[in-house]
Amino acid sequence: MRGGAIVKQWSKKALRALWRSVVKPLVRLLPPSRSDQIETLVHYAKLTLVGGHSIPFRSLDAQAKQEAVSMPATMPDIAPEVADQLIADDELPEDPIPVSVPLTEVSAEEAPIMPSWVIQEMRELAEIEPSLYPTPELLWSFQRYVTPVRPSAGNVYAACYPTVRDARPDMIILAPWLKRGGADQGILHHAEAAVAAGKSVVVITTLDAESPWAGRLPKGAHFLPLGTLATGLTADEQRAVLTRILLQSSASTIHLINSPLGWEVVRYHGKSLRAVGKSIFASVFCDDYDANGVRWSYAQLYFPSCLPYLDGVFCDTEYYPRELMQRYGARRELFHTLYFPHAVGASPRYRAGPTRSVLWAGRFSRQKRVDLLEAIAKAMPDLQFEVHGCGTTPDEDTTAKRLTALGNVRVSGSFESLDRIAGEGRHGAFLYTSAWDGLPIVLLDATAAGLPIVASEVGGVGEFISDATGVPVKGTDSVEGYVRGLRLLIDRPEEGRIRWERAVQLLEERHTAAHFRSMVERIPGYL
Amino acid sequence: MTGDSPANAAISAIMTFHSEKVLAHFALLGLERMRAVSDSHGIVTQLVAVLDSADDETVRIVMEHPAIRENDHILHVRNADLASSRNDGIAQATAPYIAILDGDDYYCGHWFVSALRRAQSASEDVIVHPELTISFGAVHCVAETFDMESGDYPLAGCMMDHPWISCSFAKRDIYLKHPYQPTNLRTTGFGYEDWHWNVETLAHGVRHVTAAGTALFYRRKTSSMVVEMVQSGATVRPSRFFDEPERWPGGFACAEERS
Repeated sequence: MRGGAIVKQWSKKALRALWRSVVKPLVRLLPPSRSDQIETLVHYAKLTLVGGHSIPFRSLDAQAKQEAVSMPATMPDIAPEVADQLIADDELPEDPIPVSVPLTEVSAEEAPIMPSWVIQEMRELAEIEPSLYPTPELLWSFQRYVTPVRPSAGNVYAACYPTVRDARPDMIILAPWLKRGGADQGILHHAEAAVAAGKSVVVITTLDAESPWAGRLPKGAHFLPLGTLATGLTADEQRAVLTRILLQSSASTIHLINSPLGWEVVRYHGKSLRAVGKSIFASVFCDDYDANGVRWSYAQLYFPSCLPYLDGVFCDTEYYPRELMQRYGARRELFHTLYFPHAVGASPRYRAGPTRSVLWAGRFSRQKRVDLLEAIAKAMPDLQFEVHGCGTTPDEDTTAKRLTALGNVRVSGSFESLDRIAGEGRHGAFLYTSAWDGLPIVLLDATAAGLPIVASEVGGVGEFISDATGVPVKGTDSVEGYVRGLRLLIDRPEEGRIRWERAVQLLEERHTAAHFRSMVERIPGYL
Repeated sequence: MTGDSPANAAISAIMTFHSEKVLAHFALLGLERMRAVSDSHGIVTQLVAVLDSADDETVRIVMEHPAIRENDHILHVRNADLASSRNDGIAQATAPYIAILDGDDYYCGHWFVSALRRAQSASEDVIVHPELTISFGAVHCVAETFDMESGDYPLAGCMMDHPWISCSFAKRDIYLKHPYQPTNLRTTGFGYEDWHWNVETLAHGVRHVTAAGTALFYRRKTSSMVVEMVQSGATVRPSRFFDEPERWPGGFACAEERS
C-alpha cells in the first residue's frame, strides 16, 4: 500500500475514533432535537467528504428540462389496491437523483452501526424483499435510535401517586390553588359536601402557587400540591402525570374547578377517563374580559373540545347556564345551578346604623370598577366611604392612592372576613360596583353581616339583589344609579332594613351549607 | 390447516394479519425461513395465524400460502383490535412457548431457536425480546432493546417512553396469566397494548431480557396504527406497574411473593 493511502486510512480511523469517543458523547448530552440535527449534518458531511457522494445538479437540471418536454400527456393509472402493495410505497420516496457512490471507498462492512450478522440477515431477507439488500447506500442510511430517558415525570408521579392511592378517594377535585377567593370557597364547599356524605376526597392543586387555604379543607379531605411538585416538568409531562394519577386512582368522580391543567387532561384524555368509568364534572362561574375587553372563560377555551366528556356542569347562577346553552348548544340536563352558602358563621343580624358611611370591599382590579367607586365618592361628598382592598399592579396601586387623596374615602387594605369589617352600626350600606361577575359570595356575606346592598346588576347578581332585597343598578357604567341607590338606603334606613330582611330570607332559604349539600346530593353520578 | 396441533410443538407463533396483502406473503416467507432453522435444531413450531377483519386479498394469501403447514391454525376474527386478536391466537396455541409476531415484519432466521434457549436458560420467568430492532421502510434506524439483566434504563422513564417492543417470546402460561388488554383506540383513547403488556408483566415479577444476536426487522409505514396512536394522543391503560411506583427502583423484584 502506498504511503499516501496509509496516511489517508489512518487519518480516517483517527477521525472516526475522535468522533465516537469524544464528540459524539458530548453531542448526545444535548437535547435529542439538537443532537439529532448535529448528527444528521455530520452524517451527510461524511457521505460527501468520505463516501464521495455528490449530486450532479447541473446535469439534473438539464435532464429535468428535457423530461418536461418529452413527458407524455397522460401517465398510466395505478389502481390504489395495486399501489398499496408496492413495496416502494413504504420506502422513502425513491430518489430520482443518480447518486455517485464509489464502492471502493465505502463497503458494507464499514457501516458504523450495523453488526455484520445483521448485514448477513439482510442479504438473506433480500431473497424475499430485494430492497433489503445491504447496499452501502442502504446501510449508511440507518441511524441509531436510543429510547429517550426521561425519568422526571415518573419521579414526580412516584412522589405524588402514593398519597392519592392511599387516600382511596371517591372524588378528586382539581383546582389551580387554594387561596382567598370565591371559587376557592366553592372548592371548600364541594369538599365539605363530599366528606359530609361519607366520601373520601383528594384536592389536587395544579399551579405552582401557595395554597394558604389548604388548612381550611374539612377533616378527612386530602391535599396534593401537584403544581408545586411538578414545576420542573414540561406541559406534556405535567399532563401525563396528572392523567396517570387520575386513571390509576380509585376516584369515580373528577371535578374541575378552574384548573387549566385539569381541563387539558380532559381535553386530551377525557375519552379514556370515561372509558374506565370516571364521571367528570366542571364548575364554571362567569366570563372574564381581558385588557382589550375580549371575553375569556374556561368554558370558551374548553367547552368545544371537552363537552362530550362532561357528565355535569355546575354554575352558581341561573344566568350562566342559559348563556352557555345559547353559545355552545349544550344540552340543558348537563347544567346544575348550585347556589353557594355564605361564609359568615353567626346567624344574620341587622348591623347597619343610621350613619352616612358606606362600605366597599374587594380587589382593586379592573373587574371591580374602582374607578366607578372613585366617581361615586366624588359625587357624594356628604358620605364617608370605607374601602377594604388593595392593588396588585402599579395601576391598581395608583388607583388606591387617588382614592385615599379624596377627603371622604378611607382605604384600609385587604380584609379577612366581611363579618369583621361590617362593624356595629358603623355603615348604612354595602356598595358593589363590579363590571362583570357570577354571583359574588361577598354579597351573601355582606347580607349575613347585616348590611343592605346597592349592587351593579351584572351576571347573576340580579338573582340575589333585586328591588325587593336591595338596590340593583342597571346602568352599571353611570354614577347616577349608584347615587340614587345609596341615597335611598342612607336617607331611608327603615326601607334599607326591610329590603335586608328579604335578602336574609333568601339567604336562609337558598344559601346555607345544608341547602348546598342537599342540592349536591341530588346531582346524578356526583357523590 | 385447522387440524390438531403437533403434539410435540415447542413454540406456537402467533401472527396477526389485517390488510397486509403481499406483505403478508413476504412475512410468511420470512416465517418459513425461521421454521427451517428451528427444524434443523429439532424444534417443532406451530403457526397460529389470526386474520382480524382481514380483506379478501390478505385472507387468500394467508390461506393459500405454502408456508402454512398441516397442523397450523388459521383463525378468522372480527375484533378490529390487535390485543384481542393476539389473545384469541394464544387461546388456540398449544405449545409451551409463545412467539408474538406481526404479519408484515421479518425476524432473524434463528429467532425461535435463540429466544427459546434464552428463555430456557433463565431461572425465573422472563420475556425475551430481540436484541436489535432494525426499522426499515419509512424510517431507517437501529435500536437496541433494554435488557433488564444488563441495561440500566430507569423504570420511572416508562411514564413517558416505552423501552421495549411488541415482539416477544415467553412461556405460554405468562400470556395466559396476563392477557393483552384491548385498546379500542377510537372509542377509548387507549393505545399501545404492547407498552401496557410489557410493564404489566414486569409489575408481576417477570423480567424483560433480550436474546443476544437477534433482530426484528420492523416495517415502518407513513401511516400505521402506531402513527394513529401518536397523532390521537393515546395513552396506556391503567396498570399495576403505575400502582406501585415505590417498587420501580427495585425493578419489581419478588413481586409475586408480595402480591
